[in-house]
Amino acid sequence: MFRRLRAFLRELSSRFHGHARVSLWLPAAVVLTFAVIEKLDAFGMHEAMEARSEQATLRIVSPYYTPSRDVAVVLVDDDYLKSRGAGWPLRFAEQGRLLRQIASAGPSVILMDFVYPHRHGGGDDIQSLLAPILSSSDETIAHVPIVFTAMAKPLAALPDGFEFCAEELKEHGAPTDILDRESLPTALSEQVQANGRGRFRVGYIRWSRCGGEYPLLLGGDANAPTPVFAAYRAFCESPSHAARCERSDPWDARDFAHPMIVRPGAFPTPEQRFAYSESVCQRPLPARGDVPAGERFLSALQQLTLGVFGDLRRSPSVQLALPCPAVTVLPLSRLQNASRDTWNELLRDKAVILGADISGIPDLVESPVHGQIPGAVWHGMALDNLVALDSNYLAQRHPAIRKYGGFALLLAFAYAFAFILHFLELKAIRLGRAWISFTLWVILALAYVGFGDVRAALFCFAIGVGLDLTSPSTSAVYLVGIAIAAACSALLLRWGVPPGNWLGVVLVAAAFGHALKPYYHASAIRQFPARLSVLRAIFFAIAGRRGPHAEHAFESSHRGE
Amino acid sequence: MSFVSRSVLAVALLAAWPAAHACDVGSQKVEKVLGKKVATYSESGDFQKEIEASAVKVDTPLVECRDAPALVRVKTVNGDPVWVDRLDVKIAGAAKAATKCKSNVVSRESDTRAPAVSGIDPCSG
Repeated sequence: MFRRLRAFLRELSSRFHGHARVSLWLPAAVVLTFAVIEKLDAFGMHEAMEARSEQATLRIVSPYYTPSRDVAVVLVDDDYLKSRGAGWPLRFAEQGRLLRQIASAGPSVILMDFVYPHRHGGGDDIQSLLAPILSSSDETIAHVPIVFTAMAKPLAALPDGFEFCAEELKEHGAPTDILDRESLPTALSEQVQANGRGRFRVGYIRWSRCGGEYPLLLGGDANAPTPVFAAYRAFCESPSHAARCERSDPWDARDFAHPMIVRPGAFPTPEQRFAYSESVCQRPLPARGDVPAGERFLSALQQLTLGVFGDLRRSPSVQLALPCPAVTVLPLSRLQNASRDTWNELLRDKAVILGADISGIPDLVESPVHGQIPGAVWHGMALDNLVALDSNYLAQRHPAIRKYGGFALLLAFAYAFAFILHFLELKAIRLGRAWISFTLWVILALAYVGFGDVRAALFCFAIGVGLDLTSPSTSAVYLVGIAIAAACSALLLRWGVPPGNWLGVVLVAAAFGHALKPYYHASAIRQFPARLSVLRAIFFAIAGRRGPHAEHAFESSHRGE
Repeated sequence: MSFVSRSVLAVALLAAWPAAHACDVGSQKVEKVLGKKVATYSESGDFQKEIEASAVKVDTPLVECRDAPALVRVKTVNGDPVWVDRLDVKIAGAAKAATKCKSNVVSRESDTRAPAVSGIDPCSG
């Protein structure tokens, strides 16, 4: 049996070597090396590269995200406080009046992005916040669900093994009490139902170890929604939107257990014009109809090509910098002077988030496209993702496939690579590759000129000339590889699958090429295992025989003397 | 600066405070009440109670107005003036507030080059 297996492997090895001109074990050895390096994650490089790949992809595909236009963020801003002669925090009475004003416009849900862990001085009581809403018999106001924000306990105060960003739904066992009671005043907690339904609801913040992801259920517990998910549940219950949530019921939390990777959009809503002029924000979606496919493609191509040579967020052109998010942001300083009709127009049937963007109050979140954005706007983007994409939101859904699939793919790629290389190294193909390489660099340089970036065009042309003089046939494969990897990751995004480390894949492919090429070009000279390999020498020493090319480093160096 | 001039300055500043937050009623009139119910507030903006829209007297001049908080004092049919939210009533003859689009966007550039420093570091000399 053992002999048969050995003979089979020898035959396989010889056939593989005959076709691919490299040893059968060489790709496996290279994969093993990469796997160990990846597992080691030296200096956190793998993690950093994965994050960078994700950010780059999210930026490139941002023109393909279409916002729902059903989410609006109302921000208490510096100008509002200044004009009202008010300080921060706003008096509860003022917040209550604001809440009533918003509720009067008839939104689907209001999410209050304020936390109340401290008492206010000067007799300012939390009851003043609730009174304008609770004492109302107005039907419009009475039917608006309100989500308050409370803090979860810190991780150290939660049971061992608890993870805020759990990837599975917790279906068994007693629910974990995650509420930090000091962050939710009694007057508010008394209004909240234990089953999470009703007019007043709670969403939990202060999660940790989630990276840039936005969890929907903390610890995978269906009773511990984050503010956005609590608001989404309420949004789905509103008569005007219930039909949109028929595909997946947010109360059956199975489809929403995975933390969300928030997709940013390149096109703001048309309603954005109310607060920001076009010279400040990029071009918004048309008021009716969709963005033409050509415009989306060109914008994505711009982000891909120009993004190589710098941080586009710093570009003076707003069409490249994309500073405005794809949710309607309404600064209160602008909204306060609007008529009731305008309030209704902007907020009716919308999911409204009331938050703040005040100097000196650090509540900023890093977004891959827009730079730093206020926390309330990030909540708004996450809610818009849910409303626009439903349970098909972007998330890392299959941990097992992610963990082992990568290695399987790498192994398949490693063995296929030898044949790909064989094809690419044919003389006729190499000549064609050289022409394609130089042409691609010239086209890329011309594209930069077209986009108005002459500096990048010159860079590109210089690189093309340099590579044509040194290794003329190499860059076509890399350029095409990058384009294919970017296109594949963009396609995956359509199905809610995150892009993964495609930059890493391109680099690994490049490393494979360089590792395998010498073996291919000079298979008669370079052996695998290498002639000077210590492990090979030890193996032969233990096996008690000398290999056909056995020559240890020690021997050769002495011979040299 | 003498005691007298300091006192005059202090009194002037104190007097300027309500003036800065008051607004001129002029010839403004309540044209219409928006909504079926209207919330009434105290002068300082604390919620009092809700009244029927029909309880507010229309086509009558405003009694008073305030910018901070944004309230107007209107007459009711029984004669008592009440403070209501400016948004809840349509006012005729009001000077249209000059509105300007925001000149700075809500996002900021990512700061990856300079270390973030905010406030005073109490641990350094």
